[in-house]
Amino acid sequence: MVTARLEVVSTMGDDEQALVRSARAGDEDAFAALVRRYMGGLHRVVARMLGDDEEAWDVVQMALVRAWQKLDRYDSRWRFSTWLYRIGTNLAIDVARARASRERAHEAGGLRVVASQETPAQRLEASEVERVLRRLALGLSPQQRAAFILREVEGLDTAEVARVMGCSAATVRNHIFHARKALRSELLRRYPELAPGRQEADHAV
Amino acid sequence: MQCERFLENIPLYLEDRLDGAERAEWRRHFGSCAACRDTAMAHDPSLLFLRAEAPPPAEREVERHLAAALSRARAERIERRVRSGRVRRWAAAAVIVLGCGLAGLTFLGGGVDPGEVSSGTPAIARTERPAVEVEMDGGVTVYQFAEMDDATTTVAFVVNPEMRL
Repeated sequence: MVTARLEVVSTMGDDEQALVRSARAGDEDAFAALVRRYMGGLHRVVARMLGDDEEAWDVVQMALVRAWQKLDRYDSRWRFSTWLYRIGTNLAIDVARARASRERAHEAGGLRVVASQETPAQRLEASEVERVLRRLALGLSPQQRAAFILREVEGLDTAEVARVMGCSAATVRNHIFHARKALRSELLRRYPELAPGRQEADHAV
Repeated sequence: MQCERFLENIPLYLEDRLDGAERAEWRRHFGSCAACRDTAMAHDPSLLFLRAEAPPPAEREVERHLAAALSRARAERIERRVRSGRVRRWAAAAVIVLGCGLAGLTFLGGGVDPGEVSSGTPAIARTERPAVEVEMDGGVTVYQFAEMDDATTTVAFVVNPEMRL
């Protein structure tokens, strides 16, 4: 669950370097083999940023097209995955900005909580947490969304997130600070039952 | 990681002051110890989202989108080639117009000495007749207004086959 789930942190092996070389020479199969391993993770990040699976696939496709076209500009000192995530994240930020004026997604349906002795937050299934995340993340700015999802949810470290987003580590921390603040507030307002101890603490005051 | 250590490190995690290994260990413990997780989330409810989990996409879906992306890349490559072909045709047309103008001024009574066209333009050695004359497809005639051993050579394209220099 919270384990290092991102392929993006894997080191770039000889196999990957060879694929990059072949892809640069125009070998489509090599390019496919290269990107296939990161598509699932990239789609997950983009879907969390946009809150829409289908739109996320479209962004992933655009990212792959751009990666193929700009492969000669890829700096092999970087992990290929970092570069690909950078392209995908930037595209997702653009899409999120473009639709910023649209109405935010309506909250739909209740949350499915399994009866047990556990607290509501413990009982909440990971997939439901995912749904809440996607819903509340839409209230963040695109940059805050990207930084929070990459570091807190996907588990990248701050330096890696900075490389993906093309900004400084301090900027990433700043985005995450504001994202946390906004999410905390929205979570307590809309899902107070999911904040263990906090209600009791609030009541005690 | 022991629970005690985990609890001590909650503020450090939130402030991003744990090193890579400690951070990974803290996140692992968060995932495995429900009691510690609740305590951490009482500090900051947004930690709930460390539990978010999206199912991996089906392999078939990945392949479908990969094929679609490669197809889009091919289509865009073709489109770019077509577009650059159009640009080349426009550039050729511009050269033709320029060449006609220059030829007209120089040989049909315009009275401009090619060597005086512009101070930044290299002087063109005038010859009695164009040194080379080539008929090309579509009525394009190519003239060379300089000797073969002259490095500063100019070429004019004349589209109208009736027009002779």
